[in-house]
Amino acid sequence: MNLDFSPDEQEFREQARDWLAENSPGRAPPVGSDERMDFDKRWQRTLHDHGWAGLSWPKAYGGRELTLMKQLIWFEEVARAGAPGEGIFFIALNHAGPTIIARGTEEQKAKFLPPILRGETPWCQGFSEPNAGSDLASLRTFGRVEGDRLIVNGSKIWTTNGHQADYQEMLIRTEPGSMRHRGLSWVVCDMHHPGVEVRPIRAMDGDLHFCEVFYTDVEIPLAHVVGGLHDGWNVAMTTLEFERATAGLGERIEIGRVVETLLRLARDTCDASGRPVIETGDIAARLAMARAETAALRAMSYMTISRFEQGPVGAEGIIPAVFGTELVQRVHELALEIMGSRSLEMHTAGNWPKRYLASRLRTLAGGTAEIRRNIIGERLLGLPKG
Amino acid sequence: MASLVATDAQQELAHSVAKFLEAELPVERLTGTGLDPALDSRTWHQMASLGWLGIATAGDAGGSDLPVGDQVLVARELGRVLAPLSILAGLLGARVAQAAGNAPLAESIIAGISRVAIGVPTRAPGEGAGAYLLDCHDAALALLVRPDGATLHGLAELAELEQRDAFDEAMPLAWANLAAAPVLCQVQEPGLYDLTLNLSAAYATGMCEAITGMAVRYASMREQFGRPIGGFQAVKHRCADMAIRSDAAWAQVVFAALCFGQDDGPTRYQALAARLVASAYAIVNAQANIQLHGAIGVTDELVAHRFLKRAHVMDMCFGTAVTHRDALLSCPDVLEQAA
Repeated sequence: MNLDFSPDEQEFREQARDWLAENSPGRAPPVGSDERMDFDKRWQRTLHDHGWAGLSWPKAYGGRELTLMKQLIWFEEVARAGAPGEGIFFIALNHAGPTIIARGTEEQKAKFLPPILRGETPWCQGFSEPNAGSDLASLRTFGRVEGDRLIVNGSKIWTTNGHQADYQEMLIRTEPGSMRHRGLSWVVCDMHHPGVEVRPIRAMDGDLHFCEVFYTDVEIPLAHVVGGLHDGWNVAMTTLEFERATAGLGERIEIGRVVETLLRLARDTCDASGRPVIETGDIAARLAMARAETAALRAMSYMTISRFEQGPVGAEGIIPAVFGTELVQRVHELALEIMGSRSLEMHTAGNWPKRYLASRLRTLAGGTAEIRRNIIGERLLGLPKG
Repeated sequence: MASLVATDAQQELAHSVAKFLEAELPVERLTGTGLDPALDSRTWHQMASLGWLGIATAGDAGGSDLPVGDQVLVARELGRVLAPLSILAGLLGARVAQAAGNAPLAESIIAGISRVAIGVPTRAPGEGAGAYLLDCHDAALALLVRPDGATLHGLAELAELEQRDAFDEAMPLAWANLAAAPVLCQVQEPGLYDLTLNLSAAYATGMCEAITGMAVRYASMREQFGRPIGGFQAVKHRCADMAIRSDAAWAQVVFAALCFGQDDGPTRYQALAARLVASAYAIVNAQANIQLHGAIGVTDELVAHRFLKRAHVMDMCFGTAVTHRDALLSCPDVLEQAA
């Protein structure tokens, strides 16, 4: 055990810190879908132009191929600088890109990867369906093979940023009569293609987080199947492996910054009787625990990285995600209480009410907290399946 | 590069400690009534001869001065079997004696001759200022640790200790007016408090993990409605939560342990965070474990209640959650201090 950073890592931290100090937009991403997309695209482009794009990606595909520790250092510096997160490029950078790198053809890599790093093509995910949520393997959207293409019919739902994405990583059934995990394919759908109809769904915070997507005789070239026809489940699992390693690392580090902001807020904000909120015992106690648990979450990121360096990581890899998403929710609930009656207004300084509402999604997206607990219980603790 | 995973040598150390405890101090020893809370002197001297009481003390008093990362591995194993807290008090007390320049006393503690109780300052109604002496069997000394340092009080000149019924019956408890007990050693060393917090957090984490194991074993074996109860989500998720808390606590304990010795490092912050999460999670895990076992969980035919009682005791010695939370809120922002 040690917490020593090599001279190389320290130099990297300084470079990241200096560059972020100079180039970070220095303001929170704007609220509202289109403004947010433009903001995220500009930031990704800036990262790309200065050599900070695709930190986890191999150099051969335009990335920096950084160690996990350097990626963590980057996220710590992003949090310190208050710089933007990956935003609308989250799926492209953490799921779609890495999957194509691992399983795609050279043609697919050349076509899809560079525009992601340049901040041109946001991606969305097409996994969930109205009747296939936690039970993903029951999905029914079907692609019929016809010559050199698939003719896709069906629908997907909870597609984050589906109305803004250019491409969708999609898991569909391609083998007629196949059941469950068999006969699926991982395909790239061009969202601008005829037959793709996107219906944005307004979430409770007023934003258009996600969409329902309908496919009517959508033609997808077989050349857009990644990792082999009918082998989609395995390909999708590759994606989830990436998720365990680094996706969410940024958010798990950033929450420390949010807690510090709340601490300042609680010192500067007075309740209706004019007393600083921090002097309320309950608020102070919860802020202290938020600090402690945020520290633990950061330590868990270090621990996860340390374990990855030693070899494959099993179900314990999702523990920080469960702990972290629920901590994010507790912290935002605390924010609402610190703001007190000001939270009656949806749009306040800091946008806490909106952020609180948005945080409720954290234990649903990318696998519900319940499914994740099943995985921990069964695969890590060896408890019987229900 | 940085790594929070124990090295092979560290795993070997933890394994050897675990092996001894499994043979000499298995947690099942605490099953049933009529328990003699005193750790017998044979086991005590065996532990002393293995050098456990010297792991925090520099070499010239017979200590091994292990890195804090190694010390937390030992403390975690102690927690797993609910080893007497006087072991923690002893290894910290030896460090205090050595730092205060009293090498003979340090040697005596390390050799297992002078035993140390944990002093918990209190002001009981009608009794004036005094201290509870926790795990005070055969104790010659009482250790009091404060945020800025620590003192060792000699108990020899006190009249017979006033024994009290302990909430945690597995460790004898007394009350004493420490004003009458001479201060034998005194050190101003904030790092000692950080170490105490971190080791007690490691002990609590060992408890979290042992409790998780106990719950998982029972959930896998106990059948109702024709199948193991661990197959039901209500039970499975409870076990998963225990594992999550254990993982979080251990990561933070190790992170804090590795901050020791860093110049102007955030050691206090990290140690407080470790203690707060580990201590709170030990209590929650212990409660969940009792619930999961059903009625047998509240009886003395099982050690589930021992974990619950010890978890609360851990939360009351070397400061309480209330004081730790206050202290953590007073620390400067830790990310600002990152490397």
